[in-house]
Amino acid sequence: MFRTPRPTRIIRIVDEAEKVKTFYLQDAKVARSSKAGQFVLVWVPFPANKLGEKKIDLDAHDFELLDQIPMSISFTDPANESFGITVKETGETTSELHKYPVGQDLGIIGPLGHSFSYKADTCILVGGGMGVAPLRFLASELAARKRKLIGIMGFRTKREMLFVEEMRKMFDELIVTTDDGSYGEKGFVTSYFEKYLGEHRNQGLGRGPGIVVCSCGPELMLKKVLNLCEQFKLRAEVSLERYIHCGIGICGFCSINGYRVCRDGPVFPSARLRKIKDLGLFRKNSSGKKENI
Amino acid sequence: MNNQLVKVVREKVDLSTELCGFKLKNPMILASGFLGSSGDLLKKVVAKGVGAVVTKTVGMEERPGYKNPTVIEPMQNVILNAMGLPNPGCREFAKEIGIAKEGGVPVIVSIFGTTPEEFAEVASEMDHAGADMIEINISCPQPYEMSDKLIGQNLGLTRKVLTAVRNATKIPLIVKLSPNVTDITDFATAAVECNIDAICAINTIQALEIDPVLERPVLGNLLGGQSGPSIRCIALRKVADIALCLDRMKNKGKLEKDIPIIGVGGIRDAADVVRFMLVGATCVQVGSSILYDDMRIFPKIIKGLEAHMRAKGYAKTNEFKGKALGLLKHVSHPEAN
Repeated sequence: MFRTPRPTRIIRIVDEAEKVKTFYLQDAKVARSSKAGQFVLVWVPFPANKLGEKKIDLDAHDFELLDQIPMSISFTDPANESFGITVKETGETTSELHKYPVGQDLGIIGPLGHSFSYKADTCILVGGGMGVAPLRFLASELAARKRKLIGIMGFRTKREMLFVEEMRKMFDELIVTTDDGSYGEKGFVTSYFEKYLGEHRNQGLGRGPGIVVCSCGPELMLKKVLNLCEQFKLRAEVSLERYIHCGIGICGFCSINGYRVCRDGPVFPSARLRKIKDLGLFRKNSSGKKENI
Repeated sequence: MNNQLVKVVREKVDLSTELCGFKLKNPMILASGFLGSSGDLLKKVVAKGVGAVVTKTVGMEERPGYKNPTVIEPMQNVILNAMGLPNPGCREFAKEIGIAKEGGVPVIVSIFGTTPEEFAEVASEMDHAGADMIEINISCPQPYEMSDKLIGQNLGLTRKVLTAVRNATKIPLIVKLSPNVTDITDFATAAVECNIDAICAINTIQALEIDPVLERPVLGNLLGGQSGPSIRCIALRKVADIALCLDRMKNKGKLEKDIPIIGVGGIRDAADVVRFMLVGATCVQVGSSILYDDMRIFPKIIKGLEAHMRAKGYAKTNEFKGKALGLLKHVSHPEAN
């Protein structure tokens, strides 16, 4: 399969939360072969308001709306050869995508990148905001493999909550936090993660390879999660995000301390994360210029 | 007796190559545009054994580049790109050069500008930032104040840019030529006349891909340039043309020093490196093939080159450099007489 966008039809759209939709796309390869933590590049080829035109002509403003963006996979349905990406409206391209109807075609490349390893009997999943999307896929995979699943999922507010009812069925134990206390525990996800580790430190946490912490979310949250994992001597696998140009490991623009997020990541194990000094401090923009996080 | 002879030769394979006064441990160079925007990443490539690295092209001001898709692989061995020269601006980039140099091999900084003066200014900045050599990129499409074409398609502009950069710095200069011209040897001749130290050929070949279902060009920038193994024979021809042109100049007494050629375009394995050397390349650059073998491609090619030379009984690459040009000389050229 060549690394060029292949046309992929939107077969279903589900409203998940405020400004968040899941787009289900028809693609046997992603549906069958992807693992949780991997991503697809999603190409939005036209502005939504020009989709019906017979001969599409684009002006300079239209081109500004179009882009190909990395999206983690949140659902797969091998039987129906479809998969889902959960997209929050955050910029011009995601706003255009949000206006796309069922039946329309997008371009996708993937699945790309390294996934979570699935290698542990007990998995603690720590997610924040949109970072919960790939963890939903991971939880479904791990539940199918009968792993013991503990989830600590944080959102800013109840309106932004994702997949909570569904995840309750997958997890042995699920703690949901909101920053404003509008649902579940009030406070940051990292506080409850720390509390959980403190309460369970005498129950075999961190002994041997049988336990892993998998995390995805805002980078400052990830940094805190990693620090706690180090403190409690737990193995971690963390999914990072950077501006991605090529997505196939050759341009190097998404690198962080010499690791390419698109090819060496996006999921990195503890041993590598320790070497990533810029984590939580700097990210590079599309020009390659370092900016503070 | 024969076995003993082979054994003696085996121990003597030496890939070290001189390029513009620098002794490279081998002729393999990372091509511009690949993994070259970060000093840390360049150091990783160095650790894979390359003789030198070329950075991503940098200009005076920060540029975000074009919208994605910027790099696609529409079919086997065909890679198209239109990155739009994304770069943080050369002053911001300067610290990456320092990091890359920790790797211990020459760091060649690729530069572009929007005017000859700007090219010169960027070259001077990069010289001060510690660049060992500069590769002048006149062959990427860029928004010019000067022309709606590539600089590298306009002989007059090419001369102006090369002269300006030559006057701005004393470090070795390489010019990277475009294959999208009627006769690439006109540009090679101009480079020699502007006192450029080495010629790199070729940059990408103008290309386009259309998606039949989505019914539009695939690249964000619509148009792009083709690289990958599919362009290797085209690149080989251009390098041979340049080598023959330089030979003719030398024979006519128009060329006092040797102008090394750096062959680039579709190199995938050691045999391809040998092919470029047989038509006169001193060094080669590898870029797009990283897509297939990742960074392992570098040690793989270096080992392959050693094995090839052992099998052929060569101790140094200059023992076969340009060997195939002897036959190509028989192809008549208007200038040859």
